[in-house]
Amino acid sequence: MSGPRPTLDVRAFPSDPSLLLILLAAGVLLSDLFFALWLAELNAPLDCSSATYPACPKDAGAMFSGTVTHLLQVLTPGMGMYALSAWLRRRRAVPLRDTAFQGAAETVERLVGQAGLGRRPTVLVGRRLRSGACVTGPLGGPHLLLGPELLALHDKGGQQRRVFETVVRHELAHLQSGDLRPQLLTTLLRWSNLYAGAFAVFALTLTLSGDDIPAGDYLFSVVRVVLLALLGELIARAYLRVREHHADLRAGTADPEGLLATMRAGAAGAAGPGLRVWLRHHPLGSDRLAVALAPSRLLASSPGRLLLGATVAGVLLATLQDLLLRIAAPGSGVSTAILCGAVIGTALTLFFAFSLWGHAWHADAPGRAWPAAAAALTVGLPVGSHLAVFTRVSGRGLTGIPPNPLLLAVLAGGALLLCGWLAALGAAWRRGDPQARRVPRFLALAVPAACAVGGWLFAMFWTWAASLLGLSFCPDFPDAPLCRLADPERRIAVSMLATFGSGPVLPAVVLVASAAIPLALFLARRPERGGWEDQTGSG
Amino acid sequence: MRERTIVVTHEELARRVVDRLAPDESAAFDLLARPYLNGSTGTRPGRRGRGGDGPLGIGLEEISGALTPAIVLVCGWFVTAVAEGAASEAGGRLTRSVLERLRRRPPAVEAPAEGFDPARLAEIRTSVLAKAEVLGLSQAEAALLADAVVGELTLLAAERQPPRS
Repeated sequence: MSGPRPTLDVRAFPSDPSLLLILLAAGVLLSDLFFALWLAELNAPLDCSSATYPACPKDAGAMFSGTVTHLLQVLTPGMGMYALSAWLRRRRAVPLRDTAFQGAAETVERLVGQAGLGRRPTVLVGRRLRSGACVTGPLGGPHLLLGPELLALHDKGGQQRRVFETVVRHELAHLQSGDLRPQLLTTLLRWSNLYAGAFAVFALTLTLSGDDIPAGDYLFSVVRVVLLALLGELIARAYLRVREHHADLRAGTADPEGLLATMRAGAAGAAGPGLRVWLRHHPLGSDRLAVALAPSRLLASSPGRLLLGATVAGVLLATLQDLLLRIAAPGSGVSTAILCGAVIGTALTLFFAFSLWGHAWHADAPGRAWPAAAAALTVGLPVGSHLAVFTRVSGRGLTGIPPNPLLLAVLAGGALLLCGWLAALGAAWRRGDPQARRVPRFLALAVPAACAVGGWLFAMFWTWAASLLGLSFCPDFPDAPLCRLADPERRIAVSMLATFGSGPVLPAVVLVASAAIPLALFLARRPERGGWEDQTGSG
Repeated sequence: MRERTIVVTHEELARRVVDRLAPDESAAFDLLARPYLNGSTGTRPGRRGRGGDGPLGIGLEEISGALTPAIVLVCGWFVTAVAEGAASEAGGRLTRSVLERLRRRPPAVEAPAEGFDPARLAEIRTSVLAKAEVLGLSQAEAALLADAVVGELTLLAAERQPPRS
C-alpha cells in the first residue's frame, strides 16, 4: 500500500525573493554608480601633470572621492526613510502587556517562543493599525506591532483565534526569514532610484535652458527617466509580493487550516485584478488563497517578471558597456562588448532558467511558458537598452540596441532556442525526480551548462549590437575604417560569424547543449549514493 | 418657555452599545474605538486607508472580527444625522457641528427629551439597520445592532429626563 503523496517543497528551488532582490540591486546600484561617476566627472578638476591641455584627464583622487560622496548622497535618503517609517509606526504604540488584551499577550508570547528567534521582538499595540499587523524597527531590536481589531479576534475563540494566530505567525515568519535587513536594502534602493531619477530630470531641464538640446529630445529623455524609475519600483513591488507568499507558507506549516481560514477571510471582498495589481505591496487575497491551497503555484513562470528581468538586462548592457568604455584603454571596444555580453548574458540566462525550471515542476507540460519567456526576452532586452538614460545625460553615451532586422531576428531565434532548451532540460530532470528531491544535484549539472550556452549567445549578440552601434558615429567620423565600407552591416554580420563561429568555442557550446538533456534524463533516475533516501530507507 | 433637551455624545452612546452587544470588547474600548471616534464616519471597519499596514505587514483588510468599530461608525453616523437634522431646525447648531468636525472631536447633540417617541424610534431603527448593512454586517447582526441603539437611546432619554415639576 502506498503512503500519502509527498508534497513538493518549493524551498528546494532557488529563492524567487532573492533573485528579485538581486535584480533590483543590480539595476539600481549600477545606475547609482554611473550617476555618481557622472557627477564626480563634472566636478573633478583636470590633472595636466601627464598630458597637455585640452587632453588632460580628470584628477583621479577627486574622481574617486567624488564618486564615493555622490554614491552616499544618493543612498542616504533611503536610510532616512527607513528610520522615519519605523519611527512613525512605533509612534503612539503601547506595549501589549499594558493593555486589556492579556489573553492575546500570552498567546503571542507562546508563538514568539515557538518561532525560536535569536532576538525576541518587542510586542506593541499599534493604535492606527486597526486589523493590521507588521514588523518593523532597527535590525538589532525588532518590533512586532499588532492592531487592536486583530487582537480582539483572540477572545472570540474558534476559527477567529486561529486567524489571529496565523497573522502573528506570518509576521514572525518575516523575522525568522530575516526580512528586516532586505527591507532596509529595498527601502534604500527604492529611494535612491527615485532620487537619481529626479536628479536626472533636473539635470536634463538645466540642459534644456541652453540651446543644445531640442524640446523633443528633452521630452523623450524625461519619459525614459520616468520609465526607468518605474521599472525599479515594479521590481521592488514584485519582490515584496513574492516575499509575502513565502511568509504565508511558513506561517502555514504549523496550522495549514488556520492559514486557509485567514486567506479565505482576506480574499472575501478583495478588489479584482487590474493594472494596480502590479503596484501592490501585497498579493491579492485571492492569489494568496490560491498559493495556500497549492504552493507549487509559486513555481509558475511569470512572463511579467521575466519581462522585467530582460528589460533590466538591457539597461545593464548599455550602462555597463558605457562605463567600461570610459575606463578601458582606447581600441578595446570589442573585448569590453564580449565581457559585457558574457557577464550580463550569463546572469540573464540564469534568471530565465530558474523561472523555467521551477515551472517544469509546477505544470505537467511546459505549455506556453517557454515561448512566452522567449517573447519577454526578445522585447525586454532591446527596450531596456534604450531606457539606459544615464548614459545619455552626459551627452556622449551609447544608444540602445539598433533596430537592425537581422540582429533582431537572431535575438528572437536565439531566445526561442535558449528558452526551449532550458524548458526541455528542466522537464527532462522532472521526469526522473517528480518530487524535486534532488534539485541541488540538478542545479550542479544545469547551471554550468546554462552559463556556457547563455554566456556565448549573449556575448555574440551584444558584440554584434555594439559593432552596429559604432555605425551611428559615422556622420561625425566619416574616415573611420568601418564607415568607409560599402555595406558595413553585412560586413559586421560576417565578421561576427567568423569570430564566434570558428575555433573550439562553438563546438563546445553545441556539445554542452546537446549532451545536457540526455545526461539529465540519466542522472535524474539514478539514486543518490549516501543520500537522504538511502539513509532513511525507501520502504 | 425653554425646550427641555438631553445631551447624547457619540462616544457615550457607542460605549453603552458595546457594553450591551460585545462585553468582551468593553475593556479595550478605547483602543478599538479611537480611530473611528475622530469623525472618520466614511470608513469601514478594518480599513487602514492609503498604504495599508505597508511592507512586512499582513496586507489583509477583511479579517476584522471586532464589533466595536461597526458600532462606533453606526453611532457616529446616527449622532451626526441627528445633529444635522436639529441644525436644519435651529440654524446656529449647524455651524457648531461643522466646527466640531473641523476640531475632530466626537460630536455631541442635544435632542428634545420628548423626541424619542415610538414613531421616531422606529425610524431610527430602520436607518441604523440600513447603515449597519452597508458597513458589511449580516442582516442578523445589523438587526441586533439597531435594536441595541434604539434600546440605549430609550434608556438614555429616561435617565436624563429631568423630573417634571
